[in-house]
Amino acid sequence: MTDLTIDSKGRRTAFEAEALPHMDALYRTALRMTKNSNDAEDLVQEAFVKAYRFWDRFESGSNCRAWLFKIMTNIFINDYRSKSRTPTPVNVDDIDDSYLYNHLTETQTESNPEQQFLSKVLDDDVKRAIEELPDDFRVVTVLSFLEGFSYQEIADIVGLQLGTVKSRLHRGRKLLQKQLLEYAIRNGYIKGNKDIELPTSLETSV
Amino acid sequence: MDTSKETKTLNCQQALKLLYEVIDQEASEIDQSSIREHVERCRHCHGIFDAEKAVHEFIQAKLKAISTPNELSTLRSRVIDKLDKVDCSKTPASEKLFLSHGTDL
Repeated sequence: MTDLTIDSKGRRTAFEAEALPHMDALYRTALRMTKNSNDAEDLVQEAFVKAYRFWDRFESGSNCRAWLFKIMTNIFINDYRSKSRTPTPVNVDDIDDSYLYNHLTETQTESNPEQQFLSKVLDDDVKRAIEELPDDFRVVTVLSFLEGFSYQEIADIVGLQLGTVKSRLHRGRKLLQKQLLEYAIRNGYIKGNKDIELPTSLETSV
Repeated sequence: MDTSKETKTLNCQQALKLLYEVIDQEASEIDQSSIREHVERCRHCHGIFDAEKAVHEFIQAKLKAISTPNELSTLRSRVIDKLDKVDCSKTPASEKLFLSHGTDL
């Protein structure tokens, strides 16, 4: 009995030392994933409990942060993701690579049109734009933009092919741009043009 | 080292296809120098790259700014409680660590 106690104490100490420092990062990603602080806290707790229970599976010396994010993301995708499984039609094929630039140069007069535009974008606009991304897009976007995981790391965390991750990030960016432009136009920060509503006829391979 | 041999000449469509990989620092050395070479001589793509890079850095910065920790002291103590419960419980982990999921979109 004493041996078990010593073992589990060592195990617990090692886990706390290695895994708990990542709590801040896990929470802020959980918050963007779940969109509310209560669910985010629940998600983080669940992730740590699962990680602790499976701590023997963790290869000492390997990337603990990525392992924890993989556990948490897996829980999110299986238990927390929007239960409405009818996939939101993601209309991003009408947005080509110079969509943002074309729109800004058409409606702005500055030499750096993006700066004028960005100076008007509010923190809240970005928050809403991220939250309005479909779950699967938001997950990869946050893992990339906020946590700085590489494409390959993200592929491993979400269990997708590298090409799918790239494509999803690409389309997620286009969606974000579309949203931010729409907010700016709606708020009167910049002038709109017809292209926001109507799809262009350019082909995009994403 | 003759780096000119390692640079491909790209047209606009090819350059823009690599746009995000370059911004995300995922592009190979060859791709990076090829992009740089194209962007230096193509004003249109130069503008697009600058704009996209600025937007990316902006969104990253805003994301960090809105992600302030929120009462993490209570979260930490809750996690510690849960870990204590795991220690007290004798049941071994029987479920799977990673569940498979369909993520088709």
